[in-house]
Amino acid sequence: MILAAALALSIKAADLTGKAVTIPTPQKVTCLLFVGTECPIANRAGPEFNRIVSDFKGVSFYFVYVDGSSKADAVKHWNDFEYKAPGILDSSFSVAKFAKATVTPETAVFDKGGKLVYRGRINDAYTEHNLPRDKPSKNELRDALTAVLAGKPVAQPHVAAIGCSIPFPR
Amino acid sequence: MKAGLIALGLAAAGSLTGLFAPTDEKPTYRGDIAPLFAKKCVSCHQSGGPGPFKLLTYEDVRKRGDLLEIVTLQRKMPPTDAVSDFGTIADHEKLTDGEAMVIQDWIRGGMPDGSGAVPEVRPQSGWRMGQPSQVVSVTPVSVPAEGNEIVKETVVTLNLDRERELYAFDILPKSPKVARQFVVALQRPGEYSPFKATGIRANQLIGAWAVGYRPWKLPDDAGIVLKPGDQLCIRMLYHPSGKRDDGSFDLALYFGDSPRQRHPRWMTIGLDQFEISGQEPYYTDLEAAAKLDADAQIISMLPEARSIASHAQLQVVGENGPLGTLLNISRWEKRWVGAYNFETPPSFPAGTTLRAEFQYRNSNHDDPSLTVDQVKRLPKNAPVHFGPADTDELFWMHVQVLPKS
Repeated sequence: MILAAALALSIKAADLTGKAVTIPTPQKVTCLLFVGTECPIANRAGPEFNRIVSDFKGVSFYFVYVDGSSKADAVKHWNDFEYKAPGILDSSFSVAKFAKATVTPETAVFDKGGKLVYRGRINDAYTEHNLPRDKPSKNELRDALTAVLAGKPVAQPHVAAIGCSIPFPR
Repeated sequence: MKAGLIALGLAAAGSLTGLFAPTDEKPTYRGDIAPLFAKKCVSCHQSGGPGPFKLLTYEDVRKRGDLLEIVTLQRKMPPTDAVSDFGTIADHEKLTDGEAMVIQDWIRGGMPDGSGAVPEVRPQSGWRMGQPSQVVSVTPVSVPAEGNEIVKETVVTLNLDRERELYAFDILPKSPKVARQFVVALQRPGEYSPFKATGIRANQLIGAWAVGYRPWKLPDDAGIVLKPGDQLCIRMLYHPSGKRDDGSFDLALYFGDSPRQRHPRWMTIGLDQFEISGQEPYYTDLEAAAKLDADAQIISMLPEARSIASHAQLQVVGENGPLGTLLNISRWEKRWVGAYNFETPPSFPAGTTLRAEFQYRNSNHDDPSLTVDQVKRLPKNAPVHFGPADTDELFWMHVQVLPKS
């Protein structure tokens, strides 16, 4: 019992409506989508993020704002981009550090037991700054979610994401 | 020896520590970064500007230190890839090696603020060439949330009461973060159309605008005649932002006193028959040249190519050999195509050769994760030819020339 408690690492946060949440969501596959109000690469990923939220029912998704923006800016951005999952304002960068995220748009997937099983890019839309592909050819986040929902190991647990460095305090 | 002593004396007056231990002089925000960013970054990276992050204050810049380290080292920023040996064409040209090193040194040195005044940045608002003669509002234009490049076209009718001479135009987009390049052409039947293959329904090209580049402007004694009832055809390029945006814009027209002495014309250098092989070495160089038939100034350059072009340039060759590069786009990217207008148009004598050189890359081994063996096993690409489809290619350099008299 003590051992189980020690393994069940989690972190408390509040969503943009003020509701307290636990990350990862207990007993559910959880996917964090790290975004910012200003990052153009994260913004361009918005429509695909929303499709993934719609396509993977049963996964607990959160859009985590990690660019030091104000709550008002985050709420406006969340509405403008019509994000289909709750937003979290990570002003202290504690959620980003918990999931070891370093850029936006990066993603983190936890299995039902709360273990981090994938961290990295959504797809290969960007493999370098400024130059998006016309159509992504690899979709590592979808692959990871498919695997973890099927109870299988994730083939590539980490694929580096290209985007805007999270402005951690120095 | 005497000159050397004077130079030493000046250096000592400027910076005593620098004289004795030059390597200890660490760049600071106020001393090095703020003046550099004022020159190369902030016209876009300010509130309401086309760039995403404000870079106006120490805090703004420090916050983005990690990202700045990457994008300046890789020279992704400033993104204006085009340079000319013959004058300024971009608002901000690419960082020099020295400037990129100063940024790296500053970030690795812990991003010190330093002391001294920060140069004042004039916020960019309103028309940069002053009050226009006429403003045409183009609305509504809806830009979808997704897609790498969205190309739209619109036709506006000018309600002119008499003939006017247009010498400049400028664009103010409602959403500066998505508007990238606008090509403005005159629609009047019966004239040569340099843009027929790309489908623009116009007859005479006027000029182009692109974010980060100088506006299209003729010298004081030149103009393009516009008649009552003339229409302007505008081709707009947008980069979607991830949400639906307003692509509306204001077009400012500047009319001068009529009649103007000189009138520009476009010459097109290029080929409409070529093949770009998909076999090794996967590179194809295309070349075409034309001669100036009169003493002339070069106003503007507009290259046209599509996805597999990798390098575009325009060389000037005089009677005694090469004079330099009028336009060099070292990394052609269809989505970052600019508007190459000279701030001060250079002059060349009759007989000068303009030589366009484009390079195309027709390979399917762009994926950096592939090994050499995997690349060798990939099927060869089909050859690409000139044509109107998105999968075809173009090799055109349109050059706007203004005869001396």
